[in-house]
This record gives sequence, C-alpha cells and structure tokens, in this order.
Amino acid sequence: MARNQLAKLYKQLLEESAKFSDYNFRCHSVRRMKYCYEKHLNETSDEKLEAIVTKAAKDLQVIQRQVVVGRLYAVEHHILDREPTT
Amino acid sequence: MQSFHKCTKLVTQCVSSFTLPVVREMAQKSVARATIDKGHSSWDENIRPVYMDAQATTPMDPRVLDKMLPYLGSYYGNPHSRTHAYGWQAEDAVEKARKQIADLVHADPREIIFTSGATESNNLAVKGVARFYGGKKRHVITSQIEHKCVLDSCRALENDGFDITYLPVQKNGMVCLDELDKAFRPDTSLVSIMFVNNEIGVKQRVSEIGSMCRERKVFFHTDAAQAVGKIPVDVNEMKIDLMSVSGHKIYGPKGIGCLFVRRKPRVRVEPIINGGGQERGLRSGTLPTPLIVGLGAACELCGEDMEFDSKHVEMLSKRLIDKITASLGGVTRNGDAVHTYPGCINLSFSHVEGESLLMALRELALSSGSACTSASLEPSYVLRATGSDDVLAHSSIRFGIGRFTTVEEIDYTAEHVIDQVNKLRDLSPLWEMEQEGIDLSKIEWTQH
Repeated sequence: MARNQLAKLYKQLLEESAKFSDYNFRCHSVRRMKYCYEKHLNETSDEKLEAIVTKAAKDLQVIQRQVVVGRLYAVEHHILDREPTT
Repeated sequence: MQSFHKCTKLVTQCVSSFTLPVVREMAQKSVARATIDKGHSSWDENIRPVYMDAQATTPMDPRVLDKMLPYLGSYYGNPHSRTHAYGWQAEDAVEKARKQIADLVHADPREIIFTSGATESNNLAVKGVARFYGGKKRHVITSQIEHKCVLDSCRALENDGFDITYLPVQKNGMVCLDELDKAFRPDTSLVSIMFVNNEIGVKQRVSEIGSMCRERKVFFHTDAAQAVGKIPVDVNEMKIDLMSVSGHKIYGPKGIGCLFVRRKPRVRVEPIINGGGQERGLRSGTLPTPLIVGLGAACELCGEDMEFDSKHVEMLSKRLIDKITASLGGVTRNGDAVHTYPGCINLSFSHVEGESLLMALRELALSSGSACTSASLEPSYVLRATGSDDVLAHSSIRFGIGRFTTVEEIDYTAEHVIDQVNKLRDLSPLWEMEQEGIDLSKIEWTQH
C-alpha cells in the first residue's frame, strides 16, 4: 500500500520538479527525486515506508509552492536552458 | 498554548490547500511579474551565465525559502516579546532553528549565538576572547591565509598591544603543525585557523590542531564558513571551542550566521555589540526570525543531503579538472589535491592573465580570488602565502561547484575555459617562446 503510494508520489514529484522555471533548481530537484526513489526502492519496513511517504508528500507541497513563487518572480533564462518552460 | 498551535496549523493547512490552485493560475497568466532595477549596464540582459562562484555565495534553496516565507509575512513577531503569541511563535521558531544548527555540528543549542554572518562571528571570537582574557594572556596565533576579517581583527588587537603570530603555510596551503607547536607561549589565549580556505579550498587538520590546543588549555577558533554543511563537522571530536558559520555559503539567506561558543570547558567572550543582552549578553539586537529560520532549515537540509551533495560535488570536481588538464598544459592546481574541499578548485594557467581570462569568459560567473578582495588588483595574499610567484598568482581562477551545479554546466565551463586559454596563449609571445624551448627565467630583459 505504502509502496504504491510512494510510486505515485514519485511520479508527481518528478512532474512538479520539472516545472521549476529556474534551470538549476529544476535539475537539482529532478536529480534528487530520482536519487531518493532509488534509495528507498528496496525498503521493506512498513513503518519506515510510511515515514518516507509522509515526508515525500510534504516535499511535494513544498515543490508545488516554490514552483509558483519562482514563476511569479521569474528572471532571464539560463544560458543552458535551450527549451525554457513557460 | 498547545491548542493555539494546533489551531494555527489547521488554519494554515486549510488556507494553503484552497489558495494554491488560485495562485498557480495567477502565475500562468504572468500577472504582476516582479522586475528588478538592472543598474549595471554591462549585463547581457537576456541570459544568465553559468554560476561557478560557490565560495562567494550560494543560491538559496527553494526548500529554505519555503520555510522562511511565513516569517516574512504574517508571522512578524519579535522573538523577545514575552507577553503575547506573536512573540512566542517567533521565539519557538528561533529555538527550533538553534537546535537544527546545533544538531548539524553536534553542539548544544545553548552554544549557538546568532550573528549577522561569519565576519561578525570571526570578529566576536577573535576580539572577544582576546580581550576577555587580555589581563594575563596577550598572545594570539593565526595563519597567513585566514579570511580578511580574522586578519583585520588581529591587526586591531595588535593596535591594542596584543602580540599576534601569523603562521606561515606550506606550498599546499596547509599549516605546519610543528610551526604551530613552536608558536605556543604561556600567555597564548587563542588559536584561530580556518577549516576550509575560501580561495584554494585547502582543508586544515582541524582535529590535530584542536587536540594541541586542548592539551595546552588554549582556546581554538575555526572559521568554518566554507566547511559546515559540506563536510562532517563535530565540535566535540575536533575539540573546537569557537566556530563561525555563515548562512549564505550553505544555501541559506544572506545576512545571518552564528558563532558556536563552547560551554564545557567554558569559553568567555567579551561582546562587541552591547545593548539589551540578547544571546546571553554576547550579541545584543533583535533576532531576525526569518533569517534564523532560513539558517536552521539550511543546516537541516545540509545534514540530510550531505552524502548526496558531496558525491555530486566530488564527481563534478574530478570531471572539471580531468577535462581541463587533458586538453591544456601549464595548469597548476593551487592548494592540496588530497586535503581539500573538492568544490573549490583554484587553477593557474601559465602565460594567461587571470582578469583577461575572466573577461573572455562572459558566459561564466567565475572569480580570480575572494569576493571581498576582488576589487583590488593586487595578487591574492593567500596565493602569495603559499609561495606562488606573482605571475602565477595573477593567472589564477577559482571554480566554485555547489549543490545546484549540473554536469552540463561543468562540461560547458571546461569547453569554454580550454577554448579561451588557447586563444589567449596564441596571442602571448611569452607562450610562443616557451613552446620553442626558451627558458624565460634566463632572459635578461632590456629597458626601453
């Protein structure tokens, strides 16, 4: 149950991270989500999985808020941002 | 009090789940985009360069900003207001942040004193300890490659009649422990050696220095602004008595830092800012709650992500050095290749002037020395102290890698640096002569 939730949250976390308007924040968040998911992929303890899911849900809310804040105060594109997100 | 907190939390959750979709829609419509006054005319208005100056400052992590925002908005209470909920809320936030910082460095929360940054912390540590114990102890030991604020504080103490020993460093930037041993005197009150140097990245043997100081009952201060949050720091294991921390070096806000002041064995410090007696009388002034919350959040994140960040920075550092040295000769790494923080790489390119290279690399945000001395044209005193000759010191560039640096940015940096160094060397008659095998040191230059 918690494992399914984690997979679903992971997909959402990746999607939201990709929406950051700042190139560096976007790349870091995507990379971090992948790292966290791979790290917790083989977690067997139900208790630990619950804690990871709770934290992931909070992280998702933070990313959603910060994506919005970033877009309100968006700046020029990073030189390596060839396909800027709108 | 508890029911007040529960109520506030419930209201916050309800409000955020309701307003978030509304705000997201606003963001899509480009409503009221904030603009900044771009006073500096030489910016290219349309692009942001690759940021490779992590030692100067670091971007604030969005997760840190998220924690700070409520305290920049409606939670504006003064943490020293004892009589109402605004004050209690702010005080709770400050104490939580104090614990987050203390946990990162294995200290007690009561040992953390908030300041305006590492410069103020260094001033407080050096001047505060020296002056408090100045009745009987009139000697302080430091090194020649300390940050300017430590060196300047020592200079101020010298004007007050203290004796300061500025320890020389070896070619790799490390303090020689035998030299330190010889420098101790019966009236030494303090040793101040920075953990990780901000210009060349060299990591000092802090544990050994701490042990030496503890044996001789001399207080040990370290400026750990570039170390805390990036490498494991344990003030008890390393026998550190005072330690400066800077917020904006660890993805936190600018304008905040702290000083760790050991309680056991007790370190007494004479305050440099007097007033209402906040921070146990050591640093008066209203605590800036939003900045402190940011510093605490930044420290907590550093603790959680230390393995992730350090592996990433190490990988990028090796990639950059390998790419540059594979394509370019005449590259010297300043500092030590082993006892170093990998995120700070200082390279000298022979026959290329550092400032010219920086000007040629407009798409990269780099530095040729520390930010606080970059306005001066003098070669870096840190490189001079390591014995680097003026020519090589003038041709040094510092590459700063951080949590947010990407592989793409490193490849872009390497490619452009190699390209521009080759172009500048093609213009250099001295480089041409060296390629022809002429020993430049044997030439007798005539005056015109």
